[in-house]
Amino acid sequence: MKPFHVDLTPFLNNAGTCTAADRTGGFTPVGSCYPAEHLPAYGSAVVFEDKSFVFPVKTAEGYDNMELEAQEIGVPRAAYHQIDLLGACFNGSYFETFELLLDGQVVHRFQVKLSNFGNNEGWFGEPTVIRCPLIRAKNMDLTNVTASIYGHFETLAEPILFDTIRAGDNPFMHIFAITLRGDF
Amino acid sequence: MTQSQAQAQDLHPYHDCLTGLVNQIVAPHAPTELLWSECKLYAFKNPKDLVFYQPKILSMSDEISRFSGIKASHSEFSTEPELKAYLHAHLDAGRSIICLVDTFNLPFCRTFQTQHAAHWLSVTGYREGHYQLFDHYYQFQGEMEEGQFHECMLVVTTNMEFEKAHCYTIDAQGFSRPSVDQYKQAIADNLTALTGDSAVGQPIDDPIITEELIIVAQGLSVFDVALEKLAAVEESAEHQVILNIMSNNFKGMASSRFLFSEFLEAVDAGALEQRTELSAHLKQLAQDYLIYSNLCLKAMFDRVKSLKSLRPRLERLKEQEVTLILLLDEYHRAITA
Repeated sequence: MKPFHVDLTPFLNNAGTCTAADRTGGFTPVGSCYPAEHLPAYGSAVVFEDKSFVFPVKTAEGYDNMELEAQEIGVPRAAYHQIDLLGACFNGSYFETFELLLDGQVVHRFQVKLSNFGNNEGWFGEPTVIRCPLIRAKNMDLTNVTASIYGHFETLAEPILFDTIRAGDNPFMHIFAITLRGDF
Repeated sequence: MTQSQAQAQDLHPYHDCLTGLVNQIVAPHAPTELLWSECKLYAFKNPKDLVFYQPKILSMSDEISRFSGIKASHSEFSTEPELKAYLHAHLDAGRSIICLVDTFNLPFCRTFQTQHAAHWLSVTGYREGHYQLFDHYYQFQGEMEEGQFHECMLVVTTNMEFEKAHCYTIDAQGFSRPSVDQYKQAIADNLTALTGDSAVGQPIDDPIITEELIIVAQGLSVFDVALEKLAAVEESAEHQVILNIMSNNFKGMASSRFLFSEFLEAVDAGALEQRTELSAHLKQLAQDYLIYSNLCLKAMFDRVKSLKSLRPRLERLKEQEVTLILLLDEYHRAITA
């Protein structure tokens, strides 16, 4: 199956990564971030087992991930077999319903489960794809906790034709990358 | 102060510092899912007209002892000699003590020297002038000099609204599983509270709470109070205080709904299909309360953006509580038929 890396750039709305020198932004409202030096370079490939992702490119506004607000993400119209996401939550571990649409009609729903970014492991049993050895707070690095990005891998029972992904409406779940796979 | 261990297991996402500690103490003796059976709705008002929202009016010790045979005792202290004598007596008898502290004085908390916050941790031992501490929430296990720890406990009377220092001890060795009749009773109590108003006008009777709190709403009418309060939050000079209270209190609602789903699943009283549906609804409701709690917190920072989503979500939570009452009633009728 061929991968299609969805370009999330128009939908990025949160600055969740920062450096020690520039701590602006915040994955959480109080300004805690992933430490950029422990993450893949912006725009680089991330490979986990047999899956590949593209880590987002930071926008001019400094955004690097998508906080869920029921965004509708257009994708090439095709039959896909697999939907893989990288993401994490804060102040909780959440499940959210995502919808697949074709010509504006919902053709499939599935649940994405992602854990709190500061967990030691996924609460739902989902795999940790990236783990940073610290959480970067506004005024210090918290080295007794880790910051993780988890994977949610959704295999469809049979290929489904769709042209849009509608995200859930939960600003405490964040997505860094989406890869679709299919024979298109 | 030294730290001997960090990075323990992940916290249960619906446990706070107190319920998490209680579970740690009880876990070797009993299934902890059977401790938390309160799933109600109340709004209280204090003399300053601030409104609080809670899923229960039973104290922690009354809730966990009610159906389990567990003995939980509360004690309170005004002076250091009294407190010291109590801690040493229990430690000498091999018992851990759950203690209320101010995080301002705890070097392993993120609010150290920046913010006063009430917090629970346990004292598990004593050696050479130092207490051994275990903090489930902050994943800390280490020690603290005796006098320094007494101060941590006693400052809650000067830095916060508490009149005394507070402790709990828990003896879980006499645990017995709730009978099916007690299980049904717990469900019936929740239904009665969710659909009635008999507690309105009563004061809150909890040994930890010292200010005068009067119940102003019960069951679904709690949402009328919350919606009214929310409508005024934009104009209120105390909007940060109100949002902070709502954030903390709705997190408590989330916990009660999730932990009650675990309670329901821990006893087999039949009607499994109804129980599965009810339990799934409680878990969804718990998550939606938690999202709401987070939105209140977020609104303290980005005010306009998050505030506008608070009202429709609150109305949706009310609808979900209506569904909860219907499903709970259906399940109760099925297991009592």
